[in-house]
Amino acid sequence: MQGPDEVNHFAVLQYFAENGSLASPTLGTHPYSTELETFLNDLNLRELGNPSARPAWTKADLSLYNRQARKLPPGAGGNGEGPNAIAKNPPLYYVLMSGPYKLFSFLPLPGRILALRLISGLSLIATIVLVWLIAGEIFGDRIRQTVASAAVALQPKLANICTTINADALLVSLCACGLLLLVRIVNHGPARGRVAAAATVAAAATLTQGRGVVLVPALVLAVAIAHIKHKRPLRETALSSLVGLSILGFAAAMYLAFGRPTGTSALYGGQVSALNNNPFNIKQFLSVTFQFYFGHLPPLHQFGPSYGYRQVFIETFYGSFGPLLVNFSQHVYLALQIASGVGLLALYTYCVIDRRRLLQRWNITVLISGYALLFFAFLHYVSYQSLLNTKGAEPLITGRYLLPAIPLFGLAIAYVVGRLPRSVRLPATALLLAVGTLLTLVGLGTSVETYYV
Amino acid sequence: MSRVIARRLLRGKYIASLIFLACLSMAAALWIGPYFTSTRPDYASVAAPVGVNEDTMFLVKPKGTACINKVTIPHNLGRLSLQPFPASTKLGPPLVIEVTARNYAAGTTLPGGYPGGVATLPLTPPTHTEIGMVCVHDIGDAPVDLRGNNEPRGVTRSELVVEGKHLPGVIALVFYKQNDEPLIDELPEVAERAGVLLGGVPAGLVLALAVCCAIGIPLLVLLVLHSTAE
Repeated sequence: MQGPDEVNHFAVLQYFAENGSLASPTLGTHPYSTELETFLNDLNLRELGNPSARPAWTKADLSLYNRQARKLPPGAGGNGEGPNAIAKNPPLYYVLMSGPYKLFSFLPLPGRILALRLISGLSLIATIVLVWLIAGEIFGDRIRQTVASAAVALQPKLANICTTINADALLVSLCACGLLLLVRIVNHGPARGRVAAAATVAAAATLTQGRGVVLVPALVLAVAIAHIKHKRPLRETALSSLVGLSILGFAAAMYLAFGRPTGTSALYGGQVSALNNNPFNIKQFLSVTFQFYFGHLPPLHQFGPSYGYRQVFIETFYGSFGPLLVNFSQHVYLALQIASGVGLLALYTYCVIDRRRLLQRWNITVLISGYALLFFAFLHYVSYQSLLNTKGAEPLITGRYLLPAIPLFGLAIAYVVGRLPRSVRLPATALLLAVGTLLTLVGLGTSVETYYV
Repeated sequence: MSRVIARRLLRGKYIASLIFLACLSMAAALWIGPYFTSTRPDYASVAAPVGVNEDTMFLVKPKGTACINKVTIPHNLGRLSLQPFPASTKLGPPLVIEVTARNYAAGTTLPGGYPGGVATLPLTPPTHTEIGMVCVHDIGDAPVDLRGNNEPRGVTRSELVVEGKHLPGVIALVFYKQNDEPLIDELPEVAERAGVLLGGVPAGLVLALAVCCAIGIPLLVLLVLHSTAE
């Protein structure tokens, strides 16, 4: 159980699969089921947040655990009613994963967890395929499709998250799917089927994790772009929008009726109201966001910890596996920061050079930049509100929160590589893929070393 | 003929593949190879680590005892490590550490006069890995503080009893192997440990999967690169 909050995600999933309802984020006396407690306790898995700890890894430990597990009474898997903070999440991931949980319920708990992780891993494959398709819609050539999807496939944090039990795994693939459908809407027009599909995916993302909400305004933007670009009659676009709205409304109604965890009546287990109970100060928000990217500047008041671009976009985006304790060396992070900086500069330069071409394809340009803007603005808004709520203690933004925008990462790299002079394009691609391969293998190795050596 | 071959090799796809392989080979030689072949202190098992944010000490009075139960005593251990600190004097009192299990009993002594810190002591291993108890007896005339852990993320299955009283937390205790080994020699054992934590997956299968990943991922990327370059 090395993934971030993986124990808690599994506990919510297990409770749902065993009882058909969500655990409570605030009530109860058993955050985990007796079965899960026994597993964590007997194999010393609770202490893995400590980098000096190691699990109980001998066959004698496994025998001890197996003896205890055999003694468990019936129903020992279903009594983890809470409190569990992860139960604030909407239910879709847990509902979907409860099927495989039931299917593999004949396996002992470690086997069940392994099976669920493998199924969660399908979201990685789905995301890679979806990025390939998005790049195909946007660029239309194979080398850039390959670069975009390979950049995503070899992003070590994505592989790490997608192979643990975590709602983020599903959210990432839903966001990639949503972006593909939005690109198709702006490319081919706001047909009812396309809008309905995009609205369904947006609803699914919203019902998976709060950060999925960003697909809803992105859908509105895409429909507006497509309406202008394809000069469709207003009635036709309105009908498509109505279909999309109905789907989103139906999903919201289902969530309100069945999807809220026990013991709460508020949206997202009270997170929405908790995050918005402070007055929004635009000047302070801009100051906090500016300092996030550019560091503390003396005339501006520093609000919150020294935590910004480097920690979120470099350290916890490329690395920091497990409970944020498994890291690449600082030299690797520095190299990644420099490479990312050079890449961003190249992207900006080529965008300026290509401004006419980008304007010709304004539908795609506005959609992609609008999606990026909405996504990052939403993350910063939530982070700012969390800082207000916790008196500057908890910025609530980390690298894995960026993963729903991973297609943008792949597309940006592919765009830059595609614009390089022909003679260096292939060598640059080879270098990029070699670095990605090394990061993936070293990331895997470092995780193994932290927990098993 | 040779010119034709040279021209073919200089085609983009071969150059790209060569660059890819050169990067990986360079990294393997400079970075990954030394990482696998350098020796390091090897854990045989970690009963409990020290805390991350809190420094917890458990006081043992003169002639007193602190015990932790349900400790894994691995068959390949060679040394035991704990962290005693003198509690009231400048130099610590002598300690006797007893390790017992169903088919095993061994002990080791830490002579008095230490300033405090990590103490690593030799210990005879059991024939087979056992689950047992470790007791630290203060046989001197001064109390001793044993560094431990009482953080939620440091809680283990072991229970701590000091002077007959159950206390929350656990004393930090690590078993090391007899000799330090390079990681490459330890790989079969690492695979066995991973297999145990996957619920008893055979070590051979884990090792085969690891080798598949280590070779398969670069090979797959190389194939994709090669076919794209065409």
